[in-house]
Amino acid sequence: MIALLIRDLRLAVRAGGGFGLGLAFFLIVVVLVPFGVGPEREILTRIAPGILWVAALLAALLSLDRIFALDHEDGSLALLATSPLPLEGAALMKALAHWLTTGLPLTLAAPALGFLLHLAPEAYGYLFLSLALGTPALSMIGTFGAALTVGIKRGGLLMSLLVLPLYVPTLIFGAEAVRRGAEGLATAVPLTMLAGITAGAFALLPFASAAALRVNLR
Amino acid sequence: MLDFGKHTFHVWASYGVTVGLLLALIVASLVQARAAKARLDRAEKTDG
Amino acid sequence: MSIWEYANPKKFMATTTPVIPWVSWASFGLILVGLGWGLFLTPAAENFEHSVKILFVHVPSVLMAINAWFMMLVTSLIWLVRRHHVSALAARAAAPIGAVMTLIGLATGAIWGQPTWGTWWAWEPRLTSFLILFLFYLGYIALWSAIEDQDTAADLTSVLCIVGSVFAVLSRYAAIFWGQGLHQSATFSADKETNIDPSFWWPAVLSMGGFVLFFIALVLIRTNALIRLRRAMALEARANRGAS
Repeated sequence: MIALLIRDLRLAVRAGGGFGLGLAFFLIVVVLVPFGVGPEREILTRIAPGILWVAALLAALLSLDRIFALDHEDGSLALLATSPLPLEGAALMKALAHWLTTGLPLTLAAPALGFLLHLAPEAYGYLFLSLALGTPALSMIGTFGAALTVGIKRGGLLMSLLVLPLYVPTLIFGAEAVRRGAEGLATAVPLTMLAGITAGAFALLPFASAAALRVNLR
Repeated sequence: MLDFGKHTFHVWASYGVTVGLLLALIVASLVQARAAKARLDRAEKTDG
Repeated sequence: MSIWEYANPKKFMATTTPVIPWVSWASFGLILVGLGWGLFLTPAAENFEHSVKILFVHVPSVLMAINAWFMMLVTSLIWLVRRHHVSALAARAAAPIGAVMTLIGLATGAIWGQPTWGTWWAWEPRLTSFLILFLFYLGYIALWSAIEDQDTAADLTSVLCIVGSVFAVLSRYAAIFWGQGLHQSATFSADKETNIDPSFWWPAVLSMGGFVLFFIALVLIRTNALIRLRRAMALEARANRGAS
C-alpha cells in the first residue's frame, strides 16, 4: 500500500500536472473574483470564505480524472485488481495521494490567498482548519466519481456532474465554519460535521469505489 | 376564463406547467415504447 | 408462487401489459377529478387567497419526486443483490419521471412563492435540497446514457444511487443547518399537510393518488419499452456476429 502511495506521488510530481495546475487554478479563480464583484473591501471580506471554499473545491475537481485514467489506459489498474492488495485499499491510497498532491497544497496556500480577498483576521485559523478537515472528503468523494466514470471516454464533464452534488454538504459545512469564525460565532458544530463527513467518506466510499472499479474492469 | 382574483395568472401558470410537463413525459414515453417495439419486431424478423 | 416470478422479463411483460391501460385511465380520472375539484370547487384560503389552488399540483409532484428516488434505491438494491434485469430497468425507467416531477415541484413552488412570499426563489432548506435532488437525477440519467454496456451501466448507476441517497439525506440536513444560519425559515415552510382545511383534503388526496398511479403506469410502460429495447439489442448483436 505504501509503495503504491509513493509511486502515485512520484508520478504526480514528475508529470507536474496535479501539483502545479490545481494551485494555479485556485489562484486564478481567487484573482478573478474581485474583477467580477468590484474591489470594495467590505464586500470582499463578506464573500471571502465562500469564494475560497468554492475555488478550492473546483481546483480539487480539476485533477480528479487523472486519478484512474492513466492507470486505466496503460493497464496498471487491471494489474492492481489482480494484486494481493484489495481494491478497497488501492482506492484509499489513490484518494490519499490525490489529497497530498491537491488538497494539502490548497490548504496551505488558502491563508495566503485570504489576504487578496481581505478575509477577516479572525477567520484565518478556521479557514485552515476547515480546509484541512474538509479537503480529504473532497478527494475521497472525487475518487469515487473517478472510479464510476473510468471506463467512459471523455468522462470528465460527466464526472463533474456526478461529483459536484456530492460535494454540497462538505461545501456548506466548510464555508459555514469559516463564516462563523469570521463573525466570532461558535464553530464547533460545522467543524464536527465536516470531520464526520470526512470520516464517513473514508470509511464507506473505498468500498463503493472498489465496487465501481471492479464493474469497470469486468 | 375563470377569475381567481389577483392570483389568476399564478394558478393557471402552475397548472399549465404541470399538465404540459406531464403530457410531454407521456408523449416521450409512448414514442420510446413504440420505437422499442418496432426495433424488436425488426430484430426478431431478421433473426428468425 | 413468489414475487420473484415477475423478475422474469417475459412474465413481467405478460402480467403488466393488460394492467397498464387500467392504471393509466384510473390515474387520468383521478388527476382530472382531483385537479378539477381543486381548481373550481375549493374556496380561497385566508392568507393564501386563490393561490392555494397550486397546492393540488405542487404537493403531489413533490411527493412523487421523493418517492421516485426511493423506488430507484430499492430497485437498485434488488438488482445488486439478486441480479434481476427488470429491477435495474425499472430504476432506469423511473429516473426521468422523477426528474420531471422534481422540475414540476420546483416550477410550481416558484410560481406559488412569488405571490405569497414575494419571491420566486429563496435559498431556503426545502428549496435548496430539492434543487440538489434534481441535480442527482440529472447525474443518474447522464451516467446511464453514457455507458454502452447495459449491465455495467446498471451496476454503476445502482452504486451511484445508493451513495447518492446517503448524500441527498446529508445535503438536506446540511441545508437545514445552513438556512438557519442565515434567517429564520420556519415561517416559509408553513405546515401544509397538518393544518390543512377539510375542504382541501379530498381534492388533494385524489390528485396525490392520481399522481401515484400516473407514476406506476409510466414506470410500467417505460420498463416494458426498455425490456424490448434490450432484447432487440441482444438480437441485433447476435445477428451481427452471425453475419461476420
